Amino acid sequence: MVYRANRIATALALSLILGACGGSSPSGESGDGGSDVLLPPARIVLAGTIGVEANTRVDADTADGLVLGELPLTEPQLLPASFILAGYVSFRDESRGTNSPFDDFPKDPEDQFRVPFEPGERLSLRTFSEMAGGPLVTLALRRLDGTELESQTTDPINKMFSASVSLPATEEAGDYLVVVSADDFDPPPVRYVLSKTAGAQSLALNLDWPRHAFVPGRAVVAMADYAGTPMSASNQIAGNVIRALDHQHWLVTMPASRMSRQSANEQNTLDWIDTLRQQPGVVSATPDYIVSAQSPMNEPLYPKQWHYDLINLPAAWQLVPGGGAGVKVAVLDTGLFRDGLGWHPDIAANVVTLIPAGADFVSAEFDNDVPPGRDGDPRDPGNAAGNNVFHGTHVAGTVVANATNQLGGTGVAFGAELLPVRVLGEGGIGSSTDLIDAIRWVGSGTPVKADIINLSLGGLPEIPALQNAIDEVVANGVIVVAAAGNQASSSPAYPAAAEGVFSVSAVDAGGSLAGYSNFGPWIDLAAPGGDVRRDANLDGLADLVISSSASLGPDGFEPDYTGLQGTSMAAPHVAGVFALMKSLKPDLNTGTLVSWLAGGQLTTPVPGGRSGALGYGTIDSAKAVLAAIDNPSVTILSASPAAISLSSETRLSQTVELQVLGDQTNNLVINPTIASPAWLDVTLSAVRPFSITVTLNEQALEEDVPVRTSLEVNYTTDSTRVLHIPVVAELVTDENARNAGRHFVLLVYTEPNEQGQLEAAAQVSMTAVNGTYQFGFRLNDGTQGASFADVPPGDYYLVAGSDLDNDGIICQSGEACAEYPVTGMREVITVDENTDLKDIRMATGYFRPTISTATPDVLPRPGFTGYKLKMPHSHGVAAPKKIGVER
Amino acid sequence: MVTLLTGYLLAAGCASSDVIETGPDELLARQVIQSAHCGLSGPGLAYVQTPERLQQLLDLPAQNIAVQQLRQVDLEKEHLLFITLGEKPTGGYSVSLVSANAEGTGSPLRLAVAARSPAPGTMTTQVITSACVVVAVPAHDWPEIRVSGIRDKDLVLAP
Repeated sequence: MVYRANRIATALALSLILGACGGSSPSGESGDGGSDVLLPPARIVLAGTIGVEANTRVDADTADGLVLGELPLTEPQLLPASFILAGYVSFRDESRGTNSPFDDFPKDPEDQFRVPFEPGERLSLRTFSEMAGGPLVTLALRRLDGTELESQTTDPINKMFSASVSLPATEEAGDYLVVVSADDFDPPPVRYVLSKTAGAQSLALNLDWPRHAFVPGRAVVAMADYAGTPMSASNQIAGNVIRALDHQHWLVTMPASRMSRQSANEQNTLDWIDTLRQQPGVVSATPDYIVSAQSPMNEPLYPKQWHYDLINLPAAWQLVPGGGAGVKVAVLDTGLFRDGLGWHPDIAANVVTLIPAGADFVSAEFDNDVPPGRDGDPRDPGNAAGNNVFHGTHVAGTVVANATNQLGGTGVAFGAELLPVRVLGEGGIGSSTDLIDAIRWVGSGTPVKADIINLSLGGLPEIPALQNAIDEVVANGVIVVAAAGNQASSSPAYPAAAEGVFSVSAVDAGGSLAGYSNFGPWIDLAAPGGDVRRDANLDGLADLVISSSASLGPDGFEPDYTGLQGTSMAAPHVAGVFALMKSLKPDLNTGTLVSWLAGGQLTTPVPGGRSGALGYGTIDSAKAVLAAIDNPSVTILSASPAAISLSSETRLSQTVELQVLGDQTNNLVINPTIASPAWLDVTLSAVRPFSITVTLNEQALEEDVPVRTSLEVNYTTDSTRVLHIPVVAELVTDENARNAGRHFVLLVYTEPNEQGQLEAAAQVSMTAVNGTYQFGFRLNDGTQGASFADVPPGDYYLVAGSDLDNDGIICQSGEACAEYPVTGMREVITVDENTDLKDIRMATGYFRPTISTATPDVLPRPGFTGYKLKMPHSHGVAAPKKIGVER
Repeated sequence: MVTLLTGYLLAAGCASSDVIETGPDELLARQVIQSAHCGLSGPGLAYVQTPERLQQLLDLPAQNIAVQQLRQVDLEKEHLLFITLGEKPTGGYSVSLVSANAEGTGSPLRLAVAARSPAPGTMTTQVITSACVVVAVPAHDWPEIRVSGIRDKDLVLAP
């Protein structure tokens, strides 16, 4: 490493002579700044490399380069099909007003990128500004000739800092222009992150999901509503209609011309369905799945209901084959969709046989049904203008949607009964007095009208009368679950924060707290709420919670399904799991649940037992259900972790523990044959403790294209059962092209300065070479002429990151950041004459660690905004000319 | 649904002798649909002149809008303008058309919309919404369309 120090010094000296017109160079020139003399031959005490996260790129004209004289790009910057890029735009140039020449921000009103797109792929933008509000930023997708296809603008005043565009299905695959432009604002600069994943939103990928049995030669086809009734007659492609399943779906048979030897098999049926999907007017075509008794995973939409795998529901359902039968759940909400044929077809069978009189509590001033005011009809009237998503129907579907009707998806407690109660009227708004009366109506009498109350509503202050009503019903044995709220705030929100109510925050498909979810010490547990901006499970679809709904068709509202996000979607997952438990343990009450929750028996635990984000953790249905079984007679296998993610970048192999849950006295035999695709090798350890080791076969993978499958583990205990383990994988090949921008590597004091900032004691800067940054620090032994790269003996954190907006702070949101040893879990390094750390490895990127089950040791950092670079004249060291390369 | 509000014009200081006085058969704008779940996460305007462009806007996740009503609009005669409030944390948000006017041939089309939001402390659904109104306007070559009522400043679009 000594030779490198000499090169650093030479490069630095040259840049000073040339007037610092530098910027990045292919050689990855490195400078420590702060001295115009060659580095003294002191010993390097600390050195290493910083790798860059997969697919990371950086805007080629950011503020830290522009202030040094680099010119904004005039040609679009080329990007790969999958990338995450950080950038900088500013409507004009200006000083930050500190009388310092070192923190100016330059003009760069627009960045253009040339990006390969497939139809349906989506690109997302997230912006960050120093000021509340901040400038509007527009994200536009254009053809190469400049024709605009789609654009979206952020709304910082209303706290919307994101935008996204997708390539319409009508466009050809190829290169397109992506333009990020900033509006005028004072002060104007803004940092941003752009991201895109190749293959996202490609429906074809979904064919690789679990191999459900289906009837050869038949399909369930949905037609676009404008298409009228083209399915009423047979044709060469669609075959014959057997019957209409509802307003939009038809059961059809394959035409004989597509059969081989006059018979339909699985393959030619799937080929035919694939052809059907490409026909104009066909919205969807799915196989006619064979339904086995109470098998929720056979519902057509189940493969899109990622939120159930996340909470280990398939394992739980094996323990509760009745799906919560005998338990009543009251959903206090906007009511339930009903048309001339009855309640929503995916929920109808679960609605209580006789709805007690008075189930509509919406007072006249909030009501939108006829006649306005309280009555006995809990149907959701919708809204003639279409300003309605049938929120209560969506929530109810998550709790109880039917599992055996070949329609839509399934509910968590598909065997439970639903009591729909209306407390929210026009636009999803209601009054606290209506809610209080409804809670008492459900749970104060004897017998109670429902065992569990779900409240996917909020926004109320603390109201003593509401607390009294909740106290009454909880004392009467009713369990109350509520949505924590979507304000991304720690302020207690009611009714979730009320005593006796289980408060549920929302996680995305990666198990991390959703960006919108409330948090704080009043959160009890977490459940999937979705996040439209993420596709954490790589299924090509946004991570929304899929459930029943209705939409406006030619003849009025029709039953439908839709994806939504919010803590409203998280709460019913918990209410459903509690219903599964209650069916096994009829005396289950709030007190028991609180005690089990605190004992870690209901959730995937979090470090320390409880966190502000996830409470006691994300609900684990299998654990929760098992807790409710006094003497389990069934035995099941559960995978830990429940899903596997492999890549050439992270890990090529993973061992999954197969836990035996339930009756431990039953013999359990695992079928050693586990089918897997060519890119995945599977090894089973079939003796206790059971485990499966999966290994990526890199030769069988296409580069940079995510793949997925689901392993089926067949086993026999008291019965023959199947365990499904989803696997996603990717062969990453962009190591050398990765670039996260000029990096500053700092040793920062562990105590903040007078401004409360963690400031650098020593720093070096460099650009990436072959996707890697290399750094080294010398010991400052007190001799004269010490440079910025010389570190005095002491205790420090070792951190690195970019300063794209040239404000002298690295690691702000939208800038790259790395910490030693692991980002999010920095540790103190003591530097003295004996220090000899020469092989430090770190990883940098734009993602920030989240507190989740996968990263249990990460702690919150309230108020942390980044690390302060070592500034001119600070700590008595000679000044560089500008912030940038010379520092 | 659409009114020409003289009061609005006076209040906005836009009244002039050039104001086009459209009759009931020549509406400058009509509200086609409203939705609380348009799937467009930022506030702004999207102008639709072709079925392809319409399909793009009907292909978004987290969307629930009355597709049928939009497809019934004859894009040869009327263009569609999506006026979006952007993503909001709860239910209770909506946007609707209030008025439309133009001050003369070749002048900007000015639309006023009313955005509604739940009062603080109101009980609402805890679902992320993205309210919008879709307005049909005559298929003219509007030099500019200005929409007031969404933000402090007008939203401006040059079709």
